[in-house]
Amino acid sequence: GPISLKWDPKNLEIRTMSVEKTLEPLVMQVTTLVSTKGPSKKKKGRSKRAHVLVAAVEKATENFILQGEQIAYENPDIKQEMLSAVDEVRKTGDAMSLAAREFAEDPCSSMKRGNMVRAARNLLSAVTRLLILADMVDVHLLLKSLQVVEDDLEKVRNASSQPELLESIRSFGRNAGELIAQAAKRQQELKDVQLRDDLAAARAVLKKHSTMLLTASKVYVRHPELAAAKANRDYVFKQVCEAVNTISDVAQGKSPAMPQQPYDGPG
Amino acid sequence: STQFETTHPSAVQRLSEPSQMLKHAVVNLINYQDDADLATRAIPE
Repeated sequence: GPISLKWDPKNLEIRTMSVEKTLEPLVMQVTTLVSTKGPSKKKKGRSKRAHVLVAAVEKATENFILQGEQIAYENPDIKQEMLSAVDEVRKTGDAMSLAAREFAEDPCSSMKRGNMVRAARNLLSAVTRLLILADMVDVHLLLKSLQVVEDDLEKVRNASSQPELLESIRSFGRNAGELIAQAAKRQQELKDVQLRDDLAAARAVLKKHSTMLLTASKVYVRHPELAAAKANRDYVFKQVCEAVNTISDVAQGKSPAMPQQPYDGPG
Repeated sequence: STQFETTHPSAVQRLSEPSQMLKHAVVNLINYQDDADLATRAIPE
């Protein structure tokens, strides 16, 4: 079935180091901007340099929006949520641009500076929301990859002839490789040490048992009447499924239901 | 394998640099203060 994305814009939980690393200075800035020091006592005047700085903000906003839009269009499942977050950046960016231009015309006005600081805070908040949504896009891609592997596993389990088995195992191998790579990326980014370890263990199990799954399934398909062949295939199959479930749980920020025991059982 | 794939950056990684650039641009503008004075001093009437 389709993967549902629980996107709650109010839930700003940060789960990855990338987001945290990107956001930490941003969030700090958003906070300190509000308590920026009082009005300047300097004389009234305009500055070319202020206009240059305004142009830099406008350009940087545009770049950020372009990148956000690109990600949105590459991910049709989450396009609408992404685009509405991008829209918010655009809206707050336009307000910032307006306030900044007014400030540049009159850089000694504390009122205009104050307006600009408020606009900047709104803009950076919108940027923050888009970053967190981007993290959800990454999770979503991982979950999609998981679903493909789960479908492959189902075909492997139901294969009744050698050609059918080989075809489904080939597909499984390819997609599991992709999943392992994506999970590695996620593992590198996760803040939570326990989740990181769980993910590492699951990747190792998936990798190790993928090859065994081929061997065990081949024997089982050739000799479905042998109880030992079935038990062996079922065991390997179960290990692979548990690893896949662990990756799924970790991707969604849940602690895995059961710890992996990679060195246990028949082999 | 413990190696990490770096060829396809994640969505967050792709937004990381543009967001930092934007933040710097905003901070530079907000911290802007002295040029007006400098200009009036540099070009005496």
